[in-house]
Amino acid sequence: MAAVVEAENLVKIFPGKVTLYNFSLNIEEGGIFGLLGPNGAGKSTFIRILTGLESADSGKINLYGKPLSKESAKKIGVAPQENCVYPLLTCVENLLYFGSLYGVTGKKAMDNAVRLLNELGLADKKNTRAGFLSGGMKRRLNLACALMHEPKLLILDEPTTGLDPTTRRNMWGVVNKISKENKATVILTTHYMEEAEALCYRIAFVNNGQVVAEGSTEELKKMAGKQIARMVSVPGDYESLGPLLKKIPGIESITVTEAGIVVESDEVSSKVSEITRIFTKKGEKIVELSVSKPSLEDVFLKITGAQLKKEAVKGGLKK
Amino acid sequence: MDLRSEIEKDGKQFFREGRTLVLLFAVPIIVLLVLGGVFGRTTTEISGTSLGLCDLDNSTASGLFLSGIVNNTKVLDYSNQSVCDSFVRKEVIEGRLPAAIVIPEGFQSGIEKGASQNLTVYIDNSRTTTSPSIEAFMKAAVQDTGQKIGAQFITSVWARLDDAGIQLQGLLKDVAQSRNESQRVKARLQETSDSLSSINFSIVNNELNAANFTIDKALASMESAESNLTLIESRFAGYDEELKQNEADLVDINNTLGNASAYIATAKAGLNCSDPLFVAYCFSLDSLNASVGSAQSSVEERIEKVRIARADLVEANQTIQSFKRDIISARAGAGDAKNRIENMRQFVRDLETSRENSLATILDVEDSIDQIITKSYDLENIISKATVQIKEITSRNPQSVVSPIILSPNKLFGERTFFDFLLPSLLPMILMFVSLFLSSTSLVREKNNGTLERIKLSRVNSLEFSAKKVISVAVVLMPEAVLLTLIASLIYGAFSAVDAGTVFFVFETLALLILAFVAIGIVIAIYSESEATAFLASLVIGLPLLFLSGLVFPFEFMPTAISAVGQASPLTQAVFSLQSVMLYKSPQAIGFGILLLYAIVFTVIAAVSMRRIR
Repeated sequence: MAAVVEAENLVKIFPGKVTLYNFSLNIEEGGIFGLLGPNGAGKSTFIRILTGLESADSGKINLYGKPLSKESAKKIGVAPQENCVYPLLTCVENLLYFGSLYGVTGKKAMDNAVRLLNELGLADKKNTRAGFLSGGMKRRLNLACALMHEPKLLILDEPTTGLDPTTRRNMWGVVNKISKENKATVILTTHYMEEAEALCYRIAFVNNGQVVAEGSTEELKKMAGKQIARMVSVPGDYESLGPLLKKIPGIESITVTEAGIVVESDEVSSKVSEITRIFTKKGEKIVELSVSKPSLEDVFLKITGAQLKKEAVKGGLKK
Repeated sequence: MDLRSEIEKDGKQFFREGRTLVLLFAVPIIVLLVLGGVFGRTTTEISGTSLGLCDLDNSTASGLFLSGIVNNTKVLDYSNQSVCDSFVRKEVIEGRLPAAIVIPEGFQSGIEKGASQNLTVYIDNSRTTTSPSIEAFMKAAVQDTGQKIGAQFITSVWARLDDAGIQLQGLLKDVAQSRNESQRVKARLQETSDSLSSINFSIVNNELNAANFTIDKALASMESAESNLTLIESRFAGYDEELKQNEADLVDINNTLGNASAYIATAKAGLNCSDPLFVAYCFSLDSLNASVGSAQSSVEERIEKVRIARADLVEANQTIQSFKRDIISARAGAGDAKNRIENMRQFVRDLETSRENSLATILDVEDSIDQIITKSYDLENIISKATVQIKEITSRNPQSVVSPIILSPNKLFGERTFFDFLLPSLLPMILMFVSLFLSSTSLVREKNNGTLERIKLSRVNSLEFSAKKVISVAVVLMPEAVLLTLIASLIYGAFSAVDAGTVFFVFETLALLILAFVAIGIVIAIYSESEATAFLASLVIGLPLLFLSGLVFPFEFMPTAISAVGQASPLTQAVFSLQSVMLYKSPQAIGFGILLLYAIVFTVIAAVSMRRIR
């Protein structure tokens, strides 16, 4: 497959902050590509550079094999995280206006608008002002606006943030449908790991302005490889628990996260009784304990946590 | 980016916001109607104002002053209040009166004595809109009263000057008379001078010399006479000695004769002269005795004669002594006469000196008189001129002296109200604020709801976007410009609605103004984080422009630099254009270029600044 996006060693520095540093990423045509990372990781900066809203201080970025230009940028459709529509305009008026920005006017614009409204389940809201739509409908209209000029590359910036679970799952269907029916390459940024897992054929983890991991869901999970036990205890003095847990034979790594302490082992379930004993001995009351195979989120936490506290690995404790 | 779509979008945005729409059209109408009602009638500026009065003089002069006030405003008389000065001051200080007049005691008498009178007017200058009018009105009233009083005074002065002129005429005669008198005095002085000059003091001196000589001769004669008298005297002394001797001799003789007579008598007594013997004898003796007696008588006579001679000598001697004394006295007199002659000579010399001095003085006096005569002609000339000048002065109307310049306002445009002046400023002002507020807040809204970023994602050229945005918002605001144009024409008759050229001119001005301020509003929006910021920034831009537009404060009173800035502002340029139509009926499109330039410059600034939006 041809590369849609080729980013190589992108550097972007804002006053007092390095946002991107040697950011390299290739995205191939077709399917939904997930871009995951914590806030401030550099995802949005990369998207802004890709869409031409910002320029990189150094590095190279190609779109469909060519450097970015005004023309190439028109191949991109962006659905921002916020519902960037005019609340006083009707759905169709919003679509026609945003289509006009890309030169889609007249009958074609109306045809596209009607088609998109139908595809996204907003046909009956055609002449309803955007301000009167529900949150999910607004999000769909937001998405439709990004599709009016039939982009070859669609960027969805956290498209389900703020939506209830049902609406979110409906939105997943819409995104899948759009990806397939419009034959567009989709770049999806999200905080929801299950969303990325459910929708994306490939995922790139971004942290500290760099791509720290990239691959399919399975490939990424293999990076985690082990079973994981995560415990949340009170009072939660994980710093003192870490060295004791590390002494348990077969325990490979200890990671302290915001969501508790994560113990990694090939057979972590057989170590649970010993782990709980240490917690009890240290006066820690376990309030939550889960044993699981590594999910994408675990991989994310592991990778980004490791990246954040690389120095701590020397002591056998990863935070 | 399609301009039509942008206009449609912005138009729908504006017109679907009901309240904004109402405000957009209602506010200007309300503002125009309210201000038209407030300022749309011709009135004296303070006719509705009540002024406090404290008349402590209650005189004809204060009445004269007040008569000029009561016709133009309401006067609340507090003169009966105790300490009314403090009372009205308090009323003003506490805001119950906009102003109060205090006429001091002795107002009229002071004027009559020629002292300027201090008329106190307490003005509530916190009422900045009315206080200047009240102050101006009070100044005018004071000036009017001053003119009346001044005219009265000048009338009396004219009368006095006329009297002085008459007196000067009399003085002119006196001067002529004095000059004639001076000329006569001069003639007399000339005569005196001639007389003095003609005095020949040498004759007097000769006479004195002759007298002196005579006296010297007399002295010599007297000296000789004195010598002679002394000689006579000595001879008389010799004579007297001889007479004295003769007298003594005669006395001896007389005594001898007496003795002889006694002897004879004795002898006779011894004889009996009865006896005839002795009769002869006795006779003889008697005869002898008679002879002796006769001889004795003769001797006594001689003695008497000697004595008389001696008495004569004494008397002669006394006469000589008297002569000598007379001579001495005469010599003394002669010496005195000589002294007197000398004194006389000195006197004559002094007299000569005095004459010289007198002649010099006379010459000086003559010169003085000549000068007096010359000056008298000058004085006549001066008096004549002064008389003419007095006539010229007093021929002037006292009123024309007090008010030499009479203002004759020629209102070239008939009666105008303040609103007529206000309207050409009001239309651009309303549109300026509407343009600034709507353009800035709408773009900030687009910025904040992300639609602007979405527009930027289409990679529209920033200059194209700015230009189309400016035009789009301006087009949306055009109905407002049309509405204001129609109100100005149809309701207030600022210009003829059927004059298409003028209507188009007004509309064009407003359209260009909208373009300029929409462009400025777009720039404001780019630098504003919120609609509140944009709103306040619009005020920060708009209010100074309003105050610098000449509407609130005339350009003529501003510092030069600020005036230049004010006149160069887009609002002022639009005001000038509209004033040319609405006030002067002579459209001047000079501001069009400047307004367009503002629109272009700020559109470019907006385009350049657009990169700031993230």
